[in-house]
Amino acid sequence: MLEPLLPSMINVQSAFKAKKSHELRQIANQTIKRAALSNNPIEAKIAVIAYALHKLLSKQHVRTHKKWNTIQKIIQQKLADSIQSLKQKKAKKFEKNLEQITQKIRQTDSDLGNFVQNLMEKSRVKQASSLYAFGLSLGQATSLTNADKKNLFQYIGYTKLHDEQPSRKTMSERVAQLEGILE
Amino acid sequence: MTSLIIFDSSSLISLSEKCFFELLKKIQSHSGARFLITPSVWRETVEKPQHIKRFELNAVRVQQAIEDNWLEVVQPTPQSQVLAKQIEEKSNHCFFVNENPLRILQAGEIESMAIYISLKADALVIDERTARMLIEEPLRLHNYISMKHDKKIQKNEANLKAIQEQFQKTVIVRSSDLLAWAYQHDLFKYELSQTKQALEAALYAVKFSGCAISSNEIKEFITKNG
Repeated sequence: MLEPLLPSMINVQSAFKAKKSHELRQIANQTIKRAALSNNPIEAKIAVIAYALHKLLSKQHVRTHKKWNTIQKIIQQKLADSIQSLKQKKAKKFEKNLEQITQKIRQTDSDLGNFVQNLMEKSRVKQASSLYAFGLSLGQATSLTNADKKNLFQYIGYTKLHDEQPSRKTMSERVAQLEGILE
Repeated sequence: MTSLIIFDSSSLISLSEKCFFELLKKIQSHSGARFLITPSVWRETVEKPQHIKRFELNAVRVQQAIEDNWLEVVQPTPQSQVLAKQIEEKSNHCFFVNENPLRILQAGEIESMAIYISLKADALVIDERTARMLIEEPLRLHNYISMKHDKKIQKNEANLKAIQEQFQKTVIVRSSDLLAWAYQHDLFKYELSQTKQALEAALYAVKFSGCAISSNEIKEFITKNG
């Protein structure tokens, strides 16, 4: 099922080339929403990459670094390679291309980041939290994105997600149920 | 009859992250209940994180609890494995978009649910939201997913009914509810202080660790019981 992925990859390539960080974020949001419905980890990976590229482009110290032009060209080439793989319907090659893009982002983050940023993990967690917000379980969200469960759960804890849909059963009711069980 | 309490990984994450494992141990010894986890939960909370320096400490806490025998790993039985397949088939075919099923639960969560049923356990401790809502409020979960996707999400009424029937009498609690119970039974004094402030702090601590409890729930409980 590669064809549905082609428009997303073309959009990522186009937005990255045009240095449109905000557009990359929107592509990530739209792609992860589709991934929640399709249960496709590859689609989730594209969302993670789009978001990570958005974060890279949004950092001034990255954009102004002397190595950035070279890094950009390498990423653009890898994006072009991945699109080519998709057009040729070469699924394994496409997955390998995505992995290469991931590696390059990771390396860039390590070389150019001001701190130990772990940009890829943060991007995974962000996309996984979107999946959880769309109604998937914690386990399913981490399974699709390969985000770390603990990182994701803590991230979710700091959002208002759990205030949106409070439990109809109250804490008092649940604690009362425990009375009959634990005593 | 010894009570059986099944923990999924989300609840262990909340409790270990905020150093509540000693309190959890006190709850276990005070109640005499058996605290059980499945092998999937062990893999998620011990085996996987123990090799990552950032997460090693919590993995050590959980493993120590197992070695001290107050937290047990219970192996799936043939019956629970059959049940898990049935639950997986139904739960991940409750909701559809354009006739494609929406996979909302993952194998680890399903394994805990299956063990709960097969052992006729007394409570299931789940901190994440989706599995709990599917069991307790499936129509509300459907409405929530529909609203979030801004799309028509079809329901398979037969599968929803089957899940509801199978989990009709299921008691689901969260780490927050366990902590509240511990407070009411004077167990906070061993770890924190037996005060309203300590209770409130503990509840917010697990909330910020990911436990699916709202601020209003906490405020309401503290007002009534603190």
